[in-house]
Amino acid sequence: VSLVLALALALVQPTAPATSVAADGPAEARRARRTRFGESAAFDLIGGGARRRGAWAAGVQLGYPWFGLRAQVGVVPRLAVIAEVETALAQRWRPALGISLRWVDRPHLRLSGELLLGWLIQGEPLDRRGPNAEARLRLATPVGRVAPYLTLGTQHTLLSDRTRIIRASGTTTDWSARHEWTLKASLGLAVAIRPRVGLDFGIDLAWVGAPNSVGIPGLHAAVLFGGGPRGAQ
Amino acid sequence: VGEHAAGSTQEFLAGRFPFPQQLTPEQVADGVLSPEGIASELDKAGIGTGVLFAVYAPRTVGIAANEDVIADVKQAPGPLLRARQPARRSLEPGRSGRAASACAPRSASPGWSASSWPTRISTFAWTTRATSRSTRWPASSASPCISTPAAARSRAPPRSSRTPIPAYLEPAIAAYPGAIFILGHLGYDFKNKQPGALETCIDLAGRHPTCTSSPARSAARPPTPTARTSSSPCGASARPASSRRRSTAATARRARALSADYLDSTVAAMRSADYSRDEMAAVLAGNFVRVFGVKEPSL
Repeated sequence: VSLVLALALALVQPTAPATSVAADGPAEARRARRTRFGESAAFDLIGGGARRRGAWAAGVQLGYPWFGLRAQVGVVPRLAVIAEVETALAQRWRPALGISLRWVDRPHLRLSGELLLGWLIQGEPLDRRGPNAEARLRLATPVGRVAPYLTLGTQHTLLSDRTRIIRASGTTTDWSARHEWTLKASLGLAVAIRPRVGLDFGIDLAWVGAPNSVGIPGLHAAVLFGGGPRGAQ
Repeated sequence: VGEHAAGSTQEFLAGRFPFPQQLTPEQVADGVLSPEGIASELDKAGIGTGVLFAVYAPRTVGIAANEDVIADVKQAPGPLLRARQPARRSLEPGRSGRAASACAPRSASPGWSASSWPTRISTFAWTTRATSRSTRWPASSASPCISTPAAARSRAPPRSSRTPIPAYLEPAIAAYPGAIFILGHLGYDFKNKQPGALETCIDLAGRHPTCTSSPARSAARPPTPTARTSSSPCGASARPASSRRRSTAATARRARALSADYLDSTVAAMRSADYSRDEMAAVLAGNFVRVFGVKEPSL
């Protein structure tokens, strides 16, 4: 019972500071603005989780080699369901669904954990197909309109290989399983242009096929946007 | 055909590029393997002249026909020489005359008649020789190998459980005294990452004046081969018999690592094996000119 109570308390929506701009003075206006951008959709997306039920955010990322779409919507305070599609040069695709839970939710610190399940599809010449799972950490430190962030992910894919041996006496086919491990990290900066719109710039490192390979760093830029029920922002 | 495993040339090559370059290997390869790219690699490594070999290896690294080589050299005539490919008849015993004529060089441009022989074709030939005494190697009596140089690679074929045995080349070496045989990679077994047929290569090079060997890629940095084994082909046992007849065959066309890096690792391997400066110089420079008897181009 105490555990359930603790979880319930942890998920209770934090008391939202007043967002109305009281015209009591410049200091009050600045504080209100900070709060306003602290709850922006852009920071929700790069910080993970959800500020409240119904709050949603989405992003479109362009870069080298990674492109992506991501959308999330809060189901309860701090917890969001997420859907994303990532691709490397339109040759390697990974659609996935998952959840994102905001563990730490402070004005200048957000820490979230995410779990995604998806499917990897990579075309020729190095065909890869198989179920994929990813665990990801998101750390963001919003300050005013900007929020530096770091994401770390470990991605695992179960691949199946078919080996055909063609002999004069006939053809034999064998199936075998293989594991592909991919480590991903992104370091970037999100900028809230408006409470509902923001930009994101960052560098990425994907170590595909770790540890028997090397990874080449990449860059990305993204447009982030979102919204929510009335009063959510 | 005895047997072979499935797997494409594109997959073999793409697997050697890092991510994400492996996703678009054709673009990357075009940049590295263009005449300008090869010349740039040579320049970075301080190598004055490179030699492009025609290659027939459809199941591994692909096919570079004589016309391709001639066209490439024309684009970078300064640093690049060419060695054109003899008629396919000499490479594939049992091929029909139609196939051989279709693959024969169409250009009359001058150049050496030489070829870098693929591991699979070599393996097939050796295996055939080993299992069937009635099969001649090479089958055609009109083989260009009789009077012109030939280069044969003797390393283990990728994705194959068979390991080529250079000793099976000996009847051919003896039968064609006018042909120059280069045992590529010193017989290194790239599959199992071990010296492989090193001793056989040394033995053949010691007993046949037309047989020489090349340490190309044998000292490459990991992952193929590993650092632990990289110095093995340069060990003391390899030096006495063959150091004066080594030829640094041109591998820039197919090497993944940069030539400068490869040169550094080769020098490091020789230093670890206590090579003298003269011995190192003999390995690194002038071999192609000596072995093939050509005039060294002016820089």
